Amino acid sequence: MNRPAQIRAFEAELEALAAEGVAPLTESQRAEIATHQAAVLARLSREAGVDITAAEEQLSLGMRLASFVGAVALSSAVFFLFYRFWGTIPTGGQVTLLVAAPLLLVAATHFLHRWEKTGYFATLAALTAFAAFVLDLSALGQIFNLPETANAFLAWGAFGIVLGLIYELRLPHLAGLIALGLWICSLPGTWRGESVGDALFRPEAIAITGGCYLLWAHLWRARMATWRSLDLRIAGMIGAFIALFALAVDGSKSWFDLDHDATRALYQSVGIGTAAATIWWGVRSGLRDLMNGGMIFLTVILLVKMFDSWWDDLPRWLFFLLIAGMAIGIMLLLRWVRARADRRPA
Amino acid sequence: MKRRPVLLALLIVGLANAVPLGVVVWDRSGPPRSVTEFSVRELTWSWTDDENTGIKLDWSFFRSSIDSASNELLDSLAFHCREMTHTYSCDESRRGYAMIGIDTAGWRADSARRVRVVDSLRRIGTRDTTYAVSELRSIGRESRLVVLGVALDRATLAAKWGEAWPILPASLDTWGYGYRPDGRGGDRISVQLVPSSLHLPTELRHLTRDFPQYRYNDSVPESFATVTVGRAGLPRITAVRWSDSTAP
Repeated sequence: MNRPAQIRAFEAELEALAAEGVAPLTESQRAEIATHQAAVLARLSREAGVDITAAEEQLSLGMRLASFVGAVALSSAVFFLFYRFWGTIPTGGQVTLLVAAPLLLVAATHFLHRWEKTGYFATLAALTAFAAFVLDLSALGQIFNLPETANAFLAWGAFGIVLGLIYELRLPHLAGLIALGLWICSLPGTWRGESVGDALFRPEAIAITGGCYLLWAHLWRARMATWRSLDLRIAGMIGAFIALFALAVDGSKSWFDLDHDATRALYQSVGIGTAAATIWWGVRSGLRDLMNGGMIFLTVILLVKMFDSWWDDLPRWLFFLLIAGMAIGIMLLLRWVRARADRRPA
Repeated sequence: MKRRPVLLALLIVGLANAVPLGVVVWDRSGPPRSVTEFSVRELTWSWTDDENTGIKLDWSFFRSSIDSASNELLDSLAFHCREMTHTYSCDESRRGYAMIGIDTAGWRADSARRVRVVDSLRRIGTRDTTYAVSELRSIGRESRLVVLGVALDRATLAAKWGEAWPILPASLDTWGYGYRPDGRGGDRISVQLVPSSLHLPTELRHLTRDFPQYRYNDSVPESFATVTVGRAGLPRITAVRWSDSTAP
């Protein structure tokens, strides 16, 4: 709960107590607290653009959504604008445009961030700068017939993370983490001399990279802002869970020299274990994102496992009965998780 | 206040652009490794529209693979096939290089064999000439481009074949699944040039014509594109001409 929400809750509780005939504070104490809280709210609003009222919070949610949609649309516009006219622009002009676009958009992000503290407009400009940088390197590759390389993901990742950290913007930070993750997971394949397409989509490498992100978020949690560790956990879970799911469904892309069926069975078990460990970790640390992510993945991987093991062998009625049993089991588990989570501070 | 971190972001953009642009400048600063002219049969014009006004030419192969690859070649490319209980399977890829060429002895022999098949059909008096006509037409119009050799590095190919033909970056893939107890799962190496098409610089755009209609009409002249491979091994189109004249 953020500070303005805490203050609102405090006010509401005092009013409820007064209605029930309990008045723990004198009038002068209440007045003193109210004056202090008003000053705190004014400072937060002035310096960080924090929402003061519940209505403002609702409005901010809309602003966040609108800035995301706007950033995606503006990025697409930049892409299509370039491709619509590049055939008529000399090569020198194409290169100048491509290099200048991300630089100008970084400058725009800087000024928008100073102009508007909440960061919605800066997010829009920063995500567009990220997209312009992606376009920049991709189009340079096309113009000069350069062979593809996974190293572009390192540049995109570093750029997104730096933009996110400078201006405390989550979306460019998350985009940067995903790009950096793709570069990291391409390294084993690159060292083995695999072609870029294969090197980028080795599920085991993606799963390990996701695990490294989760570990990073855990070990550095105390030293980084809450939003940063949350982004790391989200990026880590996306990578690890998608990769384990891919291996549980199709074992042909595994590094292990095992029969494909054996690989699938192995990763179904690893997936169940990972999901359970994630839930346990979430419960222990009081992190709801880990609990929810782990629970969703556990449901999916159990369904895969059941389908793979029993669909061909069991009568349909028994198969669906077992799924119903699994659903009830997950509901009981969720109840337990919720009870444990409620006992811990958020 | 945040000037230094902003400079870091700008530095990343600058560095990331400087690396490929530096390679391009170096590539073009010396004598080219090879200069080869390919016809529209090997470099076909790709479609363009209002949404993407850039023009590119796509590589089109007669044969873009090396069949019956020897164990030595598979080993030199570090392909490790999996030996399972009763089968062998391979599904791997490598970043490497391919030497490409046209009108090679192998391609000529293959075309001659197909012409002989058509002739033999004529000799036995087949009434239906559809197959013969279409086969002869396709021999005269299809790509002559073949892969001469593949390796993990450019130097190996250059040492073996010289650089009369272009040596280009390629993705080398092997895929196979077999029951031969003495064999390897993958004995076929397919080659995908990287990139699989060449961008036509805007400066050469005036040499193009309304190419889509030329591509599908027999009576119009063929186009020829000159591909120059620079000292860093980057291919680029440096000239375009048409069979009826040097310029439209």
